[in-house]
Amino acid sequence: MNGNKTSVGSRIKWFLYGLKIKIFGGEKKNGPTKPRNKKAGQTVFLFFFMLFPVLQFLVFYVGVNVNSIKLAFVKYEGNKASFAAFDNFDRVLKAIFVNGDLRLAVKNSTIQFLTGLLIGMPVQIAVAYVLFKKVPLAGAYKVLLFMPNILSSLVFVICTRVLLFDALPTVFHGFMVTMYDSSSFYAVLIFGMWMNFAGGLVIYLSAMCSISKDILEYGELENMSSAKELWYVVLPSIFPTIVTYIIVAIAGFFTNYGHFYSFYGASGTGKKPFDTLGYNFFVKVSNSNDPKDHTFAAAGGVLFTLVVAPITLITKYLLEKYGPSED
Amino acid sequence: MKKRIYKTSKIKRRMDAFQIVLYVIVTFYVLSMIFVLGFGLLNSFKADGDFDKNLFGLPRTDKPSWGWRFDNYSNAIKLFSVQIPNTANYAHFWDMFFNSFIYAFGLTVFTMATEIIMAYAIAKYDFKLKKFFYGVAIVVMLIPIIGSLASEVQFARFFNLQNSFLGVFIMKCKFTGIYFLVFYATFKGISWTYAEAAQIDGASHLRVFLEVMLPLAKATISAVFILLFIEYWNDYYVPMIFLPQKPTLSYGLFYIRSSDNTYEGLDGDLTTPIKLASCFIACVPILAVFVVFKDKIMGNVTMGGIKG
Repeated sequence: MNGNKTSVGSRIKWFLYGLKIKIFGGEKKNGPTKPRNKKAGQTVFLFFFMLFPVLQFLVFYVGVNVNSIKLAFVKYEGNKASFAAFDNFDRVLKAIFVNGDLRLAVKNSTIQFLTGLLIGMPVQIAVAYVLFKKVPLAGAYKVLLFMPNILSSLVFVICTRVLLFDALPTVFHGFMVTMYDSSSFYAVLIFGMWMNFAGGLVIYLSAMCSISKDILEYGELENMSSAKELWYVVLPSIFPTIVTYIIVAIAGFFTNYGHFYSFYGASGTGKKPFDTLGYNFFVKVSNSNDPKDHTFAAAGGVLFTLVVAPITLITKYLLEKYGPSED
Repeated sequence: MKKRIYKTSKIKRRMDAFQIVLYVIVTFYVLSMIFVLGFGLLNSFKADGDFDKNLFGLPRTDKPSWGWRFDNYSNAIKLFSVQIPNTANYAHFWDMFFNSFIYAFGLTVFTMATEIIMAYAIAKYDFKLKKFFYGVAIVVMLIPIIGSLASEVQFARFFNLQNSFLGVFIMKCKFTGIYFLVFYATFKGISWTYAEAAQIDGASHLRVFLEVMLPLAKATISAVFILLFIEYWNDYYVPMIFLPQKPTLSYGLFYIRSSDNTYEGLDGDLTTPIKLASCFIACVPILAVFVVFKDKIMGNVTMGGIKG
């Protein structure tokens, strides 16, 4: 039995060796390997080395997105799928511009985007600058500012929910956050800004820490005020980080759902005052088995990608061309 | 004493009105964070009746069952459970803890493996598709693809990957993440001379990668591992959609988050103080990781931020 195994094993070994010789040629004993063989060996290595990541990408990124486009052109009657032409896109556009199903979501997403960009980001940069200047307790603050970055947002959500729904109404009579009016949206909007504040701040702070000392000394020699130093020295130096933040924020216009879903889940029916585009589409997919919802979400995704992709590239181009430079 | 005076005067000289205003803002922010977490922590030690009447104070001892209820934490471990969809079974605290660990550890390893492999190959070898793959990674990061979740769910069902850890790892470990660039820069910075020396000694390409290059990139690898582990430990969206029958602690927290709906655990009422206790217990592993690797985590955030 053992002998059999050995002979099968050695046969396979010799077969593979023969195959190797046929493909890559033989090797001279103790002699240098031919460069051509070396190259072929490298190619074989790279092929097998990268096989899994490339296949994974082809199936679960390219395949998924191609299927998403296909799904946008499909309609379901029962379990039977058929070609829907542009019906799903028509449904999405009508939901935004005609029957208003998504109008509130667009409005809320716009408010969320603008507050994050026009209030959140400048304050984050300015505050990061103060911590960067090594003010008293800066070290302790940095550790505390890491908490929203390492603890689950759900811990903050649960504590804040208890505070908002149970505690604050007992102190401030008349204070009430309900899921039935816009207070539900603004409460989570403020909560989101509060949570994201620490995240952005830490990133800007890290970017500032990598600014060259020579550049900073220039500001000090010129006896610049803090505001001037921030504007003329620090901002240009961390501009690539700011560009990245803006690009991420643009995509977030269509995809941000995190805190709203963490706070309210998919509960309730009908129009929700806290609806955003990201939340609406996420709930349609995660909490529904209705294929109509899935085709609607796929069509919306294709439409929004067509809008956001050029905006992202143009914004990046404009910011890099006309934004401040380190020079 | 002299040193102290010097330090103080240095601070005074440097902080102008602009900085003072911003310093007040950040102080207020930090205090608000301490307040929210402190509020939750304090209430996690109260009896349910005490919590209803005394939301901001220290635990009171008006009734024999009130006072500091440290047993809320042992009760949380006992009662914190989630019903597994489409079954009559419950996942208990330790089941969820185990699932969280498997999910976070496995997905971190898979994601890092794909990113490291591609980054290494592109940074260190010359081949025809090198620029193409690098371009793909950049474009995927730059151009957001929106709304592919529906298609992803279809794929998961088609390939029967739902409720399988391995399936989700395979599905979610694409190489085009932000850390691909980090690894690319790391390998680009490592001299190829080490590899050549190993190759002269007869090492194969794989051996060079495993025994020469990976150890040289150890610092970056361990930092990214910690950051990704934290991110996946806290993630509840992917487990909720693709692993509903293997709930993680984060998903469990999402499940019990609603304080206005009375949720009954398997063995009794999961009161609000016990829910809060569950929250803080779920944070313990991550806080432990943070305490041990604080410098590593805080020193590597520039690489792309942390957490999902």
